[in-house]
Amino acid sequence: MNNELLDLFQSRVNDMGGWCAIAGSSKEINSIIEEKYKLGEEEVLYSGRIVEQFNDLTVTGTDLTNISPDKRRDVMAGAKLGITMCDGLIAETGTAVLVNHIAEPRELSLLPERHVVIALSDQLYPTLDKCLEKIKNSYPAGKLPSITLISGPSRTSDIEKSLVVGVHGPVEFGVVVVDRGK
Amino acid sequence: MNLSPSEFKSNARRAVHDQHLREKIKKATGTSLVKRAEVVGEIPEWEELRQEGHDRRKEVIDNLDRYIRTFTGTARDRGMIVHYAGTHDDATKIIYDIIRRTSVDTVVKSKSMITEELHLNAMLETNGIRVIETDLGEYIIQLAGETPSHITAPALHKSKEDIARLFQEKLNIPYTDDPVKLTAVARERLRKEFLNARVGISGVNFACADTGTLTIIENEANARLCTVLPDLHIAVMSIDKIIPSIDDLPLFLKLLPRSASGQRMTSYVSMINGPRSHHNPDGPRQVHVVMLNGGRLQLAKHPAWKESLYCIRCGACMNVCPVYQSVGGHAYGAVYPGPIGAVVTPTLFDMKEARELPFASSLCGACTDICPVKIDLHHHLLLERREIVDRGYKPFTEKIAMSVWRWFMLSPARFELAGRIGWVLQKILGKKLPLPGWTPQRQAPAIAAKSFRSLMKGDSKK
Ligand code: SF4
Repeated sequence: MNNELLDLFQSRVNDMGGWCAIAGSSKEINSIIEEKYKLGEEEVLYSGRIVEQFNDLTVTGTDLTNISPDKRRDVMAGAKLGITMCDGLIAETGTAVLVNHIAEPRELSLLPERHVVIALSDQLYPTLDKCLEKIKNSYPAGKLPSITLISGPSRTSDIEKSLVVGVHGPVEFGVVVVDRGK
Repeated sequence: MNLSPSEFKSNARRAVHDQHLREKIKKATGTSLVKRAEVVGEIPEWEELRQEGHDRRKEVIDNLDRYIRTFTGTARDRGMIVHYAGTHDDATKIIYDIIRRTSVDTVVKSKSMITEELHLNAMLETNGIRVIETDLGEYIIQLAGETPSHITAPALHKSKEDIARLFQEKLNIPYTDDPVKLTAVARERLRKEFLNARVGISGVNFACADTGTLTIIENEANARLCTVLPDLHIAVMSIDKIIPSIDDLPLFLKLLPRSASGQRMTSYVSMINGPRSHHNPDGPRQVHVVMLNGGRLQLAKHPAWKESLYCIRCGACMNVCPVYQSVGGHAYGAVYPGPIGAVVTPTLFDMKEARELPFASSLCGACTDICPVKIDLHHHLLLERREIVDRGYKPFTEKIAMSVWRWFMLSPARFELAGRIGWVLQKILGKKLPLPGWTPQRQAPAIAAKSFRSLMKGDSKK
């Protein structure tokens, strides 16, 4: 684990108005998020990808895949927190890279009031070009899904250049990096 | 304000005397410049990156026909429906037809300068389709019934008090000039519209030829909502938005947000690779790409002026321009204000009507220095001035004045004579030596009794 890179990533996320915490094990993820937001099970939605990734993980909340497809959008729009995985973190800019995924629709990082990304420490890249190359190469040509780069919560400076955080997308944004070697 | 570039002079005069407006512009452009300098300063290889950006844009514009074909092919392979529009009218017709077939009467829209160029909203509205602008700045402008005054900060000319009164009147809310509260009001109102929307319209920042990727850069998440939630997405772009490869995106994502808003990265970058499909599990079922030519293919063939098509619309040249800072965006009476507006309005639209714009510059070159893709903006202004004069678009009196000036300047004796005449005139008229366009605002400097040259000669005789 490259500590310098992780430090840079953390400070960039903070600069963008987000937060970044390190979890030593997948067990710690839940306590970090619970401590931060103190939300009930029905207020938190997480993507099915998390369950695929960590079989030992218990996150307080509801697995989005357990909600019937026609109700999902309304549930997401009413949720206080959406938790997703990601496909890369960029240290230079404090960015999370999310590739469109069947168990993790783009709305999950968009409609809930807050968004938290769970990442593995080996997903950290110094710059975007390295990460994008890796993603591109892992799909056959012409089959690359849509990709979203997320750096901090939604924001605007449209009124007299004063920064307002929380416009049409999430009002808060956080990243939990799981560093198993910690 | 008269929205025609031919009215630049009178618009500018009015704007310059509007102290309130000047303060707002100064504050906004100043803030952007300071933030930009900070994050550009972090990159030691910035100059090399600018050159690289220039070269990648040049590659596309030099081979525009080929890149249009490649991009169209890859985008179609990814399941997008690509429309080519030769003229502005073609584009609006295509867009209207797509919407009409869905039978919706409301569309949500994120920011796009091309749709401004098309006057799309007005056209759709006369046909009974309500367009909801969702970028906060554009939402404000739409409520006010105005046009953007800056390409990345459309409501830059409005103070928070202006916006507070506007929201109070149009949205029936109690007066508040707190930006946080005003933003929350817009969030609440627009959230409902997003969730009900069946058609979303967006612009495009970069279209990657090799993968068909549509890239949209933003901070508010409104473009994500417009392009993810509805059943149908219409992406409107001009043909010059193409970049060779998805591998070029990291470069342009370094250049654009830093130059535009002084951010290392915007909050969101959407890279759209087609409609909902087996490989792309959510999003609209249909993605239409409307590609506007609108005179650009022609411009791309001009040896000098093609460079203006390298522009990535960051708006930095506006922020840094002393003329823009003094008169603001509306005075230009054009879709694109500031230095790049003064360059493209005559060449892309109507040179005669826009004949004043290339002269709205001190030729200080600040725009050229700041441009992230190294467009030689102030030299283009100079070249266009020449073209405008050659085509006889300037008044006859100006031509005579210039010939007289030339005659006096071409020989030392005549130059000396001009000085004497000026001195005599000043003696007779006092300090009020009238020079149109100069002395009404300023005092003409006193002309010395003896010229510098004759003093020098006198000295050397000693
Ligand atoms: S001309 Fe250059 S500085 Fe001006 S908007 Fe375009 S890219 Fe930015």
